[in-house]
Amino acid sequence: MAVTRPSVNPQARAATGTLAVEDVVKRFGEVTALGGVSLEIKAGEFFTLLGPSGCGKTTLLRIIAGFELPSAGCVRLGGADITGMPANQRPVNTVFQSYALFPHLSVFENVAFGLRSRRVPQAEVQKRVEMVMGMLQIERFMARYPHQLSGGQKQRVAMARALVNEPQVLLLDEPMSALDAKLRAEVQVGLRRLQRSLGTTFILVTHDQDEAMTVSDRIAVMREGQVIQVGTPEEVYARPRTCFVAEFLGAANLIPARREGGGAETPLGPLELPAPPRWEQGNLAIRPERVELVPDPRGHNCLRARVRDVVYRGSHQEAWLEPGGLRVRAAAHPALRPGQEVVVHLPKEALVVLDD
Amino acid sequence: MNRVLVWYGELTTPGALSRRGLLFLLPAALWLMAFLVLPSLALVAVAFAERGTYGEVVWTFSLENLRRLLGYGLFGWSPDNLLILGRSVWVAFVTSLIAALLAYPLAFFIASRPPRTRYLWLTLVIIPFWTNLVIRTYAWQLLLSPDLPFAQVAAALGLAEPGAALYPGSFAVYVGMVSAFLPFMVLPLYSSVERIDSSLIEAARDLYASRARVFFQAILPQTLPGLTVGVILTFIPAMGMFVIPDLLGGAKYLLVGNLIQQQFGASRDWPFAAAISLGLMALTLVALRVYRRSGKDVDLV
Repeated sequence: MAVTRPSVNPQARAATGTLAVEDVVKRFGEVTALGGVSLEIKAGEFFTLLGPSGCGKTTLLRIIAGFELPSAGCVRLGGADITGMPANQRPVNTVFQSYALFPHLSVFENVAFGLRSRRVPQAEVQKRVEMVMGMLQIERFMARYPHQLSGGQKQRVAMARALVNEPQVLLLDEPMSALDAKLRAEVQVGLRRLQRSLGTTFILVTHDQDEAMTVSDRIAVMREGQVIQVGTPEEVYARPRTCFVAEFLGAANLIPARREGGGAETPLGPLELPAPPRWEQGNLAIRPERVELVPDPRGHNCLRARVRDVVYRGSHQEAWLEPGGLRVRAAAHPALRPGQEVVVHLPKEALVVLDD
Repeated sequence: MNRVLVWYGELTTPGALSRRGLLFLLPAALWLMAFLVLPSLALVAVAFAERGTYGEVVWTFSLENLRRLLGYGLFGWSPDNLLILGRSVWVAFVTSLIAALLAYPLAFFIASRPPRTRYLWLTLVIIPFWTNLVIRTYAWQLLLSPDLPFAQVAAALGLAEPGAALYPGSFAVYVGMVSAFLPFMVLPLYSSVERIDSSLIEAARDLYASRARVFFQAILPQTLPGLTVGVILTFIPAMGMFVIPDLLGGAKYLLVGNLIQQQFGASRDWPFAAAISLGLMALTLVALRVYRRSGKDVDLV
C-alpha cells in the first residue's frame, strides 16, 4: 500500500501544490448535489465554501476528503489526480462537524491516532503530539477522555488530531457550529492566526457569512450545487455578482431597475450608475451602510423618503424607509424617528449592477 | 421524616415515596423469591445431600457429590466430568465466537438496507423462532445425512468418509449451536450497528487507518454494548444446552447439560445432578466475571 506520507519537514510541506476541483458532478439517485463545480485553491490559502444548507458545500468537502466519489470530474492535488485515492491514503485531513473524537481513547491517543495508523515510532509520536497540543494549548487535557471536555476543547482536540499529521490540505466541516457566539468569534481569529503560521491550505465549509469573512483569503459562494462567485471577502461583499450573493453576505438593498441610457430607471427614480448595465431589466444592489442621509437634495441619486421603522443597535441604528423599503444603516446619533422626513443619497460608486 | 419534597410535580415526603416504591417492588420480589431464590436454595441444599437406594434424596450432609464432580468416583479418579465441563465452556466459547463473526456482516448488511426492507430481513432472522428447537435440531439430522449435498461435498473434499452422515459429532454440534444462537447474537448487535456514528468510521479512515484498525477502533467500541448482550445471550444458554448435543453429538460429544439431564432423569441421582448444576453455575459466574473484566466499562445488562 503506497501511503503518501506527509513529510515532517516544513519546507517540503510549503512546496506542495494547488488543489484543483475540475467539473465535479455528484448525483445521489435523482438528486444532483453538485452540478459541475470547478475551483482552484492555491497552496497555503484559507479558502471557504460558503452557502446555505443543501448547497452542496459539504458534499464537495467530502469528495476532497475521499469519503465520496464524484459522479464525474476529478480532484487534483499538486497536479496528481487523487479522485479515486482512498481517504486513508490522501495527504488530507478533516475536522468533522461533530468532531468525531474516539470516545474510548484519551485525548493524547486521539491526537496520536493518525501517527499510530502509520506506525510512527513512539518517540516521534510523543514529540509531535506534544508539540501540536502545545500549539493549540491543550496539553493539560492530555490524559482526559472526550466526554470530559467542553465543546471548545473538543474542537481544539479535533484540530490537533488532524494537524499532527501535517496534511497538505486541512478540511474543516463547520467546525464552529457547536460553539456559542462569543467563543466562536475567538476561535475564528485563532484559526486564522494558526493557518497563517502553519502555511497549510485550509478549506472551511460554513453557512455563516461572518465566519467566512473573518477567516478567509478567498470565498466561494455556493448555491444549489453551483459555485456562484469566487473572490476575496472584500470582492464578494462589495461587488456581489447576483442577488443571491448580495443578500447572502450581509444585508443588501436590491433595487429592480430598467436601463435608461447609461443609468437606470428605478421605483426610487432615475439613478446614475458607475457603469452602464448589460441588461435591459435587472437589479441593482447597495449596502445599507453605503446609503447616506444628507441635509438636502443636491445632485444626482438623491431622493426624499419617510422613516417607517427604526431599530436601535447600540453602535448604529437601522431604518427602513418609504417608499421602496430602502434599508439604511446610520450612526446612532442623531436618533431617527418613525414618520420623519429624510433625504437619502445613493452614491454612484456604492451602487452595484448585478448580473441578474 | 416530615420533610416535604416535590416529586415530578407531586407534593410528597421521602417516607411516602419509599413506601410506594416498596409496594411497587413487592409483586416482582415475591415472584423472584418463589420461583428463583427458593428453588436455587433448594438446589444448593440437595447438592449436599445423598442419594437413597431408590433414587430418593436422603438428607444427610455430604461432600460426596462434589468429590464425584471433581472426578473421584467408585473406581478412582477419572477426568470425564471435568472434561465435559471444560468442553461445555469451550463449545459455548466457540459458538459465541462464530456467531459473533457471522453476526457482524449480517447486522451491517441489514442496517444498510433501506428502512422499508430492513424489517423483512430482521423477520427472516427471527423466523427460526417460529419452530421448536427440537424440530430444528432434527432437521439438521436430516440435512447432515449421507444422501444430502452437505455430506457428499464433505466426502468429495475428503473431510468425511463417503457414505457417512456428518453427525453425530462435534461438527454437527457446532452447526446446530451456531444456527440456534445466531439470532440471539444478531438482534442485539443490529440494534447497536443501526445507531453507529459513521463519522467515527470516516474519521478513522481519514487518519490513515487500515480496515482492521477501522474495525477495532471505530466499529467495535461502538457496537460493544450490543455484542455484550449477544455474547451473554449466547454463551450462558450454550453452556447448559442439552437438546442439540443430545441429538447431534450423541455419545461422542456430551456436554454438561446432557450430564445434568441424565442424572436428574435416567440415573435418578438428584443430589449429584444438583452438584453438577452448581458447578455449571459457578463456571457461568466465573466466565461472566472474566468477560466483564476484559471490557471494564461495559454494563452487563
